[in-house]
Amino acid sequence: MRTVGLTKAFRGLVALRDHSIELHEREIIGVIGPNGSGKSTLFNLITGFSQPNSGSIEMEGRSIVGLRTSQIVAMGIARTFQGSRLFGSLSVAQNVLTAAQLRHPVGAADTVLRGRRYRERVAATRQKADELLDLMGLTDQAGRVAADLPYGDQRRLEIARALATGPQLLLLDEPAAGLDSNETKVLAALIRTIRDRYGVTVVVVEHDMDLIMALCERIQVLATGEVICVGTPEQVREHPKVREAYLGHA
Amino acid sequence: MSREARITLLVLVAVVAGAVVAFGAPHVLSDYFVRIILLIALNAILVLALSLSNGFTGVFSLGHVGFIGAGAYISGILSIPVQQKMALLPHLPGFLHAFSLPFLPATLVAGVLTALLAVVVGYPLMRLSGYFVSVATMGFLIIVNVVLINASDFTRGARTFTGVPLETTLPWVMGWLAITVFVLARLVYSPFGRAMKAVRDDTIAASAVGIGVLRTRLIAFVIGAFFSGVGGSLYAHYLGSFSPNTFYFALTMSLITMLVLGGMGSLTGAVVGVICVSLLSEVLRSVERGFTIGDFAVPALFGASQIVLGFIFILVMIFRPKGIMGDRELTFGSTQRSATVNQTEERKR
Ligand SMILES: Nc1ncnc2c1ncn2[C@@H]1O[C@H](COP(=O)(O)OP(=O)(O)O)[C@@H](O)[C@H]1O
Ligand SMILES: [Mg+2]
Repeated sequence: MRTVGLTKAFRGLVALRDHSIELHEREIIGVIGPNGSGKSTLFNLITGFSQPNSGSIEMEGRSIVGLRTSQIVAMGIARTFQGSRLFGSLSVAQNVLTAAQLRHPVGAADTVLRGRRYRERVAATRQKADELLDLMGLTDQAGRVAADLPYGDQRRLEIARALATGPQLLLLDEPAAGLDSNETKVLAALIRTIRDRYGVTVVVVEHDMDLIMALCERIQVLATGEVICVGTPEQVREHPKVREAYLGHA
Repeated sequence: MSREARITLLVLVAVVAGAVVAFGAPHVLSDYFVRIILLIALNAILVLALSLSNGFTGVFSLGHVGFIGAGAYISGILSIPVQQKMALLPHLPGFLHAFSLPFLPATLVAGVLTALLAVVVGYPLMRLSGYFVSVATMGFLIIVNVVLINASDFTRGARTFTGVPLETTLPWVMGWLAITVFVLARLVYSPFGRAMKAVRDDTIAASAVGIGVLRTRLIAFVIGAFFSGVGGSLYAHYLGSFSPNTFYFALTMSLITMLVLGGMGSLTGAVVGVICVSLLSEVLRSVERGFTIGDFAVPALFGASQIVLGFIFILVMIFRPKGIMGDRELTFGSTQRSATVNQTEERKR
């Protein structure tokens, strides 16, 4: 996946200016920047929640600008949200099932008649969901209503749900926000496991440096909508512009 | 007993009990009670049809009665006997004069045409959320009413539409209720049902897991409209005569009250709501005519039933804001949240 010259303005306020990035397969890449630097805006553009004023977004050489979110997800891009956006009245398991069913669709007639194909696909959906609940350590909570979960579990559930759509590219918007340092470490290990097991490319957005520095192979730094630099954690740490624009605030 | 087995047993018991009531009640009970059961079953179809969008998908429609009205008039026009059509509807287009359909096909055609109407109406409206879709669907109801009043070649306008054969018997209504419950239960408790509830909880998160929000809402709306159209046809063949205002705000309010009182996220809740409201209003209505216990005579207090009913609604909403059943299904033995289909138990199988 890559973006070229991506620009988005909200009534004069340029939230993202001339953004370009090229993602490598199976890498974990971080995008950091202070609050309001355009990180969530970037995710919203990639996943079709808003449309860029100019620039392009390509997935395997195909432009995805203008596609509906559901189409983009079907092409293999999944995301989580800053804060939390679970299906609050559904159980933990059903939150994941709702996403896992994307890869095992059943038609209306099948749903009413419930023949063998229906049962097979429902079973496959359930198997995928069980696997992810297990990976994220949520099996014991499977029957609980999602809204009642502790915050840390909610964050992991949101990742499980995104992963259940079977993505090649996983976008995580501030996954460590609100977690303590121990939970953050667990999360970092989980994100690596996810990459290794499912071969996904992961983009992690954070305004906090610790997780990113520990986790990412490559980091892009944004400030007020513009790319300041890209490089390894060491390069970024030493970059004078970053120290000035970002670490000064942190 | 496993969950599966218990539900299968419950369904069997319900079907047998329904069949016994449908065919037995007319022999045992007075016409008055048969009529009450029939109206409960008929209203249950209408409220269930409404629950699909309003309860499970989170699209609070105030326009479903427009679909009921459309179904009633379509079925009525199709099934008035050919000899009477000339007299009652002299300006109908020629091809509609030439034939008259029996009850079942007329009902099916009414359902299908109403569903098509819902596709046209829903395509623009299902993009709206919250209050906006409620007001917009109410606009649709108003339009249907005005069209029914003005399309007098087809509907006799504001005059009573009459001559529809009285064919809605208890077995017919119970049969259609069974079909409605069967189809809706399979839809609501399936991947599609999960998509509906996901859209209800959070449209943004729903699209982020690949669910087409507009598509999901539209399907729920259209299926609900199909059963509303069917219910309208049953209504038409029950009443025999009706007018555009039969299908307007009064019916809307009554159906929505039943749905909200019963519990919006539950199929059995919808039925419970219909039963409670119908029985209560019947009991209260007979009480308000006045009665005597021993020497003590209670005089007639006409209108009191409405006040008591209103009070009961207020109390339910204060103490059970999610309705009598909330989002639980009545399964006797274990009342379960529809949201939390018991995972551990399912996995044991
Ligand atoms: N929908 C919107 N309408 C108007 N302004 C917005 C909208 N979304 C984001 N912005 C603005 O764009 C800028 C970047 O926001 P965002 O991408 O959320 O930052 P980050 O995620 O890096 O904290 C902010 O100034 C924010 O106020
Ligand atoms: Mg953000």
